[in-house]
Amino acid sequence: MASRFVFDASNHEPPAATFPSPAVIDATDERRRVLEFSGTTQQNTSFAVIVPADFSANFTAEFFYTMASGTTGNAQWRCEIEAVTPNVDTLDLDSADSYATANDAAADTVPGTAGHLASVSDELTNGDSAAAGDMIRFRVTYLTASTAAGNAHLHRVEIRDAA
Amino acid sequence: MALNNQERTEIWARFQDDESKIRRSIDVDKSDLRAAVDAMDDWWDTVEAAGNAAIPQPARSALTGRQKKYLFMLLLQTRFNLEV
Repeated sequence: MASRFVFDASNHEPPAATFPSPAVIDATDERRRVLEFSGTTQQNTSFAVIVPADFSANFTAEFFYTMASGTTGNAQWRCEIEAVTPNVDTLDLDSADSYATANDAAADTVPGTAGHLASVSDELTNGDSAAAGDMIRFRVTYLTASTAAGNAHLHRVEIRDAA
Repeated sequence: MALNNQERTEIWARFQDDESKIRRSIDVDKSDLRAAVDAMDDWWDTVEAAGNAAIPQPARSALTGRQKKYLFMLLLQTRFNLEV
């Protein structure tokens, strides 16, 4: 598996509403910038890139996260793909989205201490027929079906493919 | 009268967000936390009449229900701040 992209809080393109808040969680030296997802209001945000020339399906997303407060229960992440082929697709980017069916990661048991890093992978089998050269967006959602209490901090999202 | 489902949900959500903002652990999952909210509100409904009866006259009759709740809230807030 080849690592293709690593997204952080500075890369996200939030929707008009119900998006995670950028936050700093290590206030001592202000180094850890995260996206804070509510545990009780479902929020999402997107990351956009171009599919590399040697892409090999499928993409897999790896979510690196910590919990702000929760120490028991699980965290559930979702990733959806929108692939747009330039000069071919007729999607009006001014006014429309076109995400494929959601890919839900398995419920991930959260660390027993808030602030400890966890990761969970999510194979994106519903890939919207992404091909080399497409402009692609990964829409990431923290599901309120997560049983762990409190907010979740998304540190990084790594995107790999099968190459 | 007990709070309705929406009001309880808002308390449950606010608690989680507030605790998350100050990075304080919540060592129960969401459903257990909600059960605590429900039980505490039910308990208040059960003991409210007894609490009112414990207030001596003339305050019991002279203060409005809202004033008595406010007094109780101030007492509880002080106990919370002092952790007693």
